[in-house]
Amino acid sequence: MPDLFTHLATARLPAAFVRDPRIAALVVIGTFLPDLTSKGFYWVLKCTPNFEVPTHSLVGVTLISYAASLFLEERLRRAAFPALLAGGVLHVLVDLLKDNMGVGSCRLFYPFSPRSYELGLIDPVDVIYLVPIDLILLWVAGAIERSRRVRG
Amino acid sequence: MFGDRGLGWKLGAALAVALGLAFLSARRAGSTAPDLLGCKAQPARWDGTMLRIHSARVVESDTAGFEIESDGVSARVVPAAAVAPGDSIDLTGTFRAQGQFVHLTEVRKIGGLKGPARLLSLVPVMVLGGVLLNLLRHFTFRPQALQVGRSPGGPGEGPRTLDAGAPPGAA
Repeated sequence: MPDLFTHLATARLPAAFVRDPRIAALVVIGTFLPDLTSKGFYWVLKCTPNFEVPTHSLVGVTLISYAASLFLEERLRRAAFPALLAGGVLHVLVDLLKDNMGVGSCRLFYPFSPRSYELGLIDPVDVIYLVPIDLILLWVAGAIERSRRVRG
Repeated sequence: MFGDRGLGWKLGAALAVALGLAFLSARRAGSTAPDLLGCKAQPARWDGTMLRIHSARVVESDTAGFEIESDGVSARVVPAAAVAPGDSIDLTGTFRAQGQFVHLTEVRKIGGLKGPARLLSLVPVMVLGGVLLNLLRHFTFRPQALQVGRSPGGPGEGPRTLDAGAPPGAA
């Protein structure tokens, strides 16, 4: 839950700069797609974690975003795809911050390269301590949106 | 690419490629980076392989090492670490075929939030609750708020309100 919350907060901030609220919502939805698909593989299809690798790679995120955009109405799709993709890429970038004991958090360039990357900045157990920062991000995003509404 | 023409084919192709990548990943991992079960099944093949074991449970520990259980597979880990039976841990180590044990590189306890961390964990739940309440506020069906717009002025042509509680013809 704190992990998802961090993803929500980091997506809400750039989404606050998007004028169309539908597209802004899609950036936020896009940031959840990598985890929704990977957890779908794990919990629903009962696959081993090795199946989840593409869900957190750039190619995988692109495919998932494209497939998701096709579920929207036609006139929205062209703008929806980059919004979903931006959210997904942001998710992968945030995951890269994690310290996965040197094993890597994302195989960014899978299937072209099996190499796994991580920046090793945050112990996944300590993600909980990002909650105050997440709250600040959400507050800033809300303030940006409110100020834009006031300006009309 | 984004049009309605051949939508089913496009969606099917995207999902098929994504699933294909997932299967490819699982297949490649099986031959390059096995899990604990793979190592125990073919110890000679995977001798010296680096393992990352996620969410393992410590079954017992002693001065020389400890025993873990992960996805129904148990293994001995050496040397000893600051873990106790019942702990949930992530660990990295090297599989050794001789004796079928894992030589520990790094271990990390997971779960069991305490003090302020437990309080902080409530915040995301509260935010989620707030979001859901806000959604309810926006999407609750209020029939009395439905206005049937008819051009005012004509006889009996004033604006009408549909009210679920009103008798038929009262609107």
